[in-house]
Amino acid sequence: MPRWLVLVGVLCWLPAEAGRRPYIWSFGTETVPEGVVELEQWMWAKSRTPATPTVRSVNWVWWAPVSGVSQHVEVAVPLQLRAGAGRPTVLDSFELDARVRLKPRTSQDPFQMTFRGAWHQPTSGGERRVDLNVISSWTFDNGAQLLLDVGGLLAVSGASAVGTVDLAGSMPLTDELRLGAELFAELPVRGAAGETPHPFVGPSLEWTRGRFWVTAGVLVGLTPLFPQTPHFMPRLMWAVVL
Amino acid sequence: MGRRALRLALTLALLPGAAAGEAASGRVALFRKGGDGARAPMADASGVLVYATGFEAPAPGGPAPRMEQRDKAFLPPVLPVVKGQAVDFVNMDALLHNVFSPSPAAAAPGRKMDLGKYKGPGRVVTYEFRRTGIVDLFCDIHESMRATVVVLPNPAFAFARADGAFRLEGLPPGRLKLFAWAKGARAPAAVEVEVKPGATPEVQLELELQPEPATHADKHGRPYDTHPPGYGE
Repeated sequence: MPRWLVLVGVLCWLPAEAGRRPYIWSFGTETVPEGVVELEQWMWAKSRTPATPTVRSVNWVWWAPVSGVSQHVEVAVPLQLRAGAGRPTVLDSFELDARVRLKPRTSQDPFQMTFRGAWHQPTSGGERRVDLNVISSWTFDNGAQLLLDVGGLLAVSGASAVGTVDLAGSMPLTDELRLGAELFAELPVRGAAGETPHPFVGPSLEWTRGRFWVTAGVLVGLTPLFPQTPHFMPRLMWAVVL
Repeated sequence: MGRRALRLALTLALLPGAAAGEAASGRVALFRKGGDGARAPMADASGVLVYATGFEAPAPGGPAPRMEQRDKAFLPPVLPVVKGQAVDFVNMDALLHNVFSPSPAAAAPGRKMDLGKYKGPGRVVTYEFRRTGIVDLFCDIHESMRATVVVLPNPAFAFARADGAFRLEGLPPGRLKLFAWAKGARAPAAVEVEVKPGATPEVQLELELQPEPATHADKHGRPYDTHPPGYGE
């Protein structure tokens, strides 16, 4: 399988999220309250990569209703649009995404764990895929949080597999504003011979007011050390609670 | 002394958990302040909660305290619990309720208490209160539903009788502070008391109530009249 396809496939991974989330790439351990539906939208981009100059930058739009099914489970049904320089905008894929909390959403314990599983169904080329994540967080009494998200993107055909790891931290600045930072890496495991890890680091800022929240941030690739890593991956996310 | 002082008082934990077996008793006089500023005595003081601070002790064993949502109202309207106790929120109505609280004592910084929407009858959601203080409860669907959970550092609390008399048990010897609080109180009434082994000190408290605000915001901080038609049905 061409290396660029694997790279694009990896970067097609758009985690479904819901509820307040101060991180732009990691799934938090927070979920939408039971019986509540949020409409979420993301816009994000992946810049060029020095090692593959023929691969153009890509832009994505992700949209989904996200529903709190129970005190433990949240489900999203996203659709994704993809656009690139000089190429038409296409409906890229649908997903069915479920996140299950180990403890109920009302738990006040500082340690929380969430499991995520998603089915990725492409509509304009690409591989069907299963995404899996295990996310753990520890929240301190002052509201600061540390988080570890370990995941995998597994092509159903078995042709490719990519591991992901995200180490993140956040802290409240005010009741409405939260600052986050992430160290994120994609780790090609299968189907990408010669592909090196793609590490990124970057900040994010989340603002919540009433029924609306928005998170913005950018991941900066450690491209000087890993030339196959894109320079930038900015992301803007927002949601409205119905 | 406002709510901030009340929260500070409730977080005091000055004395170790020594054997707590003494008692204190007394009487609370309840007054209501009218719109004209005049203060009138109230005949029934049975809604006044009296409690002690200055020591921490766990709740006694037994079933979890229960806060019901019944006929679009919370029952009981005031529920005292000990820090660390879990409360069963039971929806007894065959319709959705969404219990929430904007109070800082309800959840960790950066989080809000929101039990989500669930329908009864009989559905239970359990919530643990880990911080002392006053927790105002509302329903995000039914604006008229109001209740209060008072999270205390120890189980030495009691409701006064209609005549204002009360008795607190399980107090450790030493200098403690007793408070009286009721819904509508701008600030709790307080008195210091010296508890000695074998003696039951008598104290007097006066508590003044004011009219409660007629409206409050929903869980997003918005007026209830911004809800779309059929919200919560």
